[in-house]
Amino acid sequence: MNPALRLALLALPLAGLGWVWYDTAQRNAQGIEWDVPVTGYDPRDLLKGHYVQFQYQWPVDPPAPSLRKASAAPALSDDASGLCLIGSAPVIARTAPLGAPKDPTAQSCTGIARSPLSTGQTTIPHSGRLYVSEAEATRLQTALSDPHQQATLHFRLRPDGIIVPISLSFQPKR
Amino acid sequence: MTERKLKAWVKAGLIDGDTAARIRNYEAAHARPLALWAVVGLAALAIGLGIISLVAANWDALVPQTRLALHGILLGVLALVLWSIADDRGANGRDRVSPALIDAALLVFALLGLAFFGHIGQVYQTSAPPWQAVALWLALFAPLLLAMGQGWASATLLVGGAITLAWLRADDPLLGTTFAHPGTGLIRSAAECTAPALFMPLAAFALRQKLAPRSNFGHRLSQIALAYVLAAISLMVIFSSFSLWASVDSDGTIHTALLTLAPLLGLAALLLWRIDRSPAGSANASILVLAALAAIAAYPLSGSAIGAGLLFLALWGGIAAAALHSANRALFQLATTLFALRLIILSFEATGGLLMSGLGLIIGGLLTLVIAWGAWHLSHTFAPDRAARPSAGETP
Repeated sequence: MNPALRLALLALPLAGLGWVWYDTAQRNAQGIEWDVPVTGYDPRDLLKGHYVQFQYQWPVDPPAPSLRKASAAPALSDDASGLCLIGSAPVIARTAPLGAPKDPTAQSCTGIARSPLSTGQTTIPHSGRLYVSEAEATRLQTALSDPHQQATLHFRLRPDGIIVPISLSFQPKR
Repeated sequence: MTERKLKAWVKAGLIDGDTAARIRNYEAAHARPLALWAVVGLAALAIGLGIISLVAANWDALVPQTRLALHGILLGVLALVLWSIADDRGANGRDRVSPALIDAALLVFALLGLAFFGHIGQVYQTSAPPWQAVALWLALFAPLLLAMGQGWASATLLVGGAITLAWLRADDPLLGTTFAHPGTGLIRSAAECTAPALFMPLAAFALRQKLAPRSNFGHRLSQIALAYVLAAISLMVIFSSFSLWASVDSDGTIHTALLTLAPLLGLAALLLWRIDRSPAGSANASILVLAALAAIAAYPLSGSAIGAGLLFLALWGGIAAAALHSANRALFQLATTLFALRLIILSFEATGGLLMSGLGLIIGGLLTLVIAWGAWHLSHTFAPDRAARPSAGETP
């Protein structure tokens, strides 16, 4: 085989993988960091492989007393194209579902969280996952299933609305 | 061991003393220091394992970017190894490296490349659907595998990668269809899942270009693609007997999706027939046509156990005929076996009412014996000779 062609064929995967690494790192470095309370996704199976799975507990606006008891999910319907985060990072003061993708109220949002639904469509992120090492997985699983502890996810909100989980922390529930 | 055998052979009168002496001289001149090699190999293995366990033990302590960099360095080293061993002209008077070794190095290189995507996903917590990683991996590694692949390993990676990509995309809600809830993306998905059949004309084209040292790779590509088409179509025909598809297909999407299989398989058959006019080429082309016809017939016959059974028999009967035409012994025996098994199941289905009675069981059992004997007899009497066609291991 022609040495130039051989070089090109071997260099293509290396260059491509390098580009994927650079591009992913670039994209993930942008955005504002926030904190959100989370709860275990499924008490029977908190860990899926090496991933800790959880549901976001977005502070709902307006904070109706009846909603505090129930899960936050029913108030945040799937009709919304995203979730408007309002507050001073990393503290989310309140959130509001966004209607159409060009909702005028989006102007007042500090950040907008979106989760891809189907081609070109987005919705409110309800659940997420965090890759953890094997050593840390057991500790996190125990802490997540402890009813006296509140888990908080520290995440970065990319400009395109995608949530990049960073770490989980735990505080005693009040 | 040679000395003991030589003495025994001289004693038995198989060879004379001169021949034995010549063999001894030859063996002495060509002796390889196996023991030394073994010790060196053992030392290298120990050092390698030591490095791996040192890295593994401290893996969590490493900065994620350092881990990715180590992964990248490993890939770079393998690329260098591939660069040096894949010189097919045997430069510097060296012996050519064995194709199996090149294939093994390609396999490790490509799998490490695939693992790199997973590694990036872990470090940067990405949530992109897995098919995107597989698609990018194929785009980066397929040219290399196509150009340097030697045998089973690289052919499996290439065709397997394409099949995996198609099926991952068929089960992604973001693309409008999942296995549980077929949607608007089903027709596109059906076409994508059929596309790996096009590896058959592609392999035939590569073989016609007389890439002589790598003809093994071309045959493997074609065989794996054929095995995929046969397995997929057979499973579809089997599933078609379970339920009436029209009853769950109010908007006709499933019917349209099935109908898109036929022209694609037909296209693959036509291309293959145009490129390869040998008995093997025309047999494979006619098998693709049979698969296309089965895809069309499966929908109207769905829900009928007898109809789907007959379709299966027609499909594999045709494949047996094609295998006879191309003198493909293994495929012929597989086809007759599957034909007989399905016939036995069909005979029990047909006598289903009688099965409740002793007479029904006796008839079913007798039919099974007759079919099994007939199939065995047929597959041994008519099976093409082993020597009629280059077998799997050979490269013509």
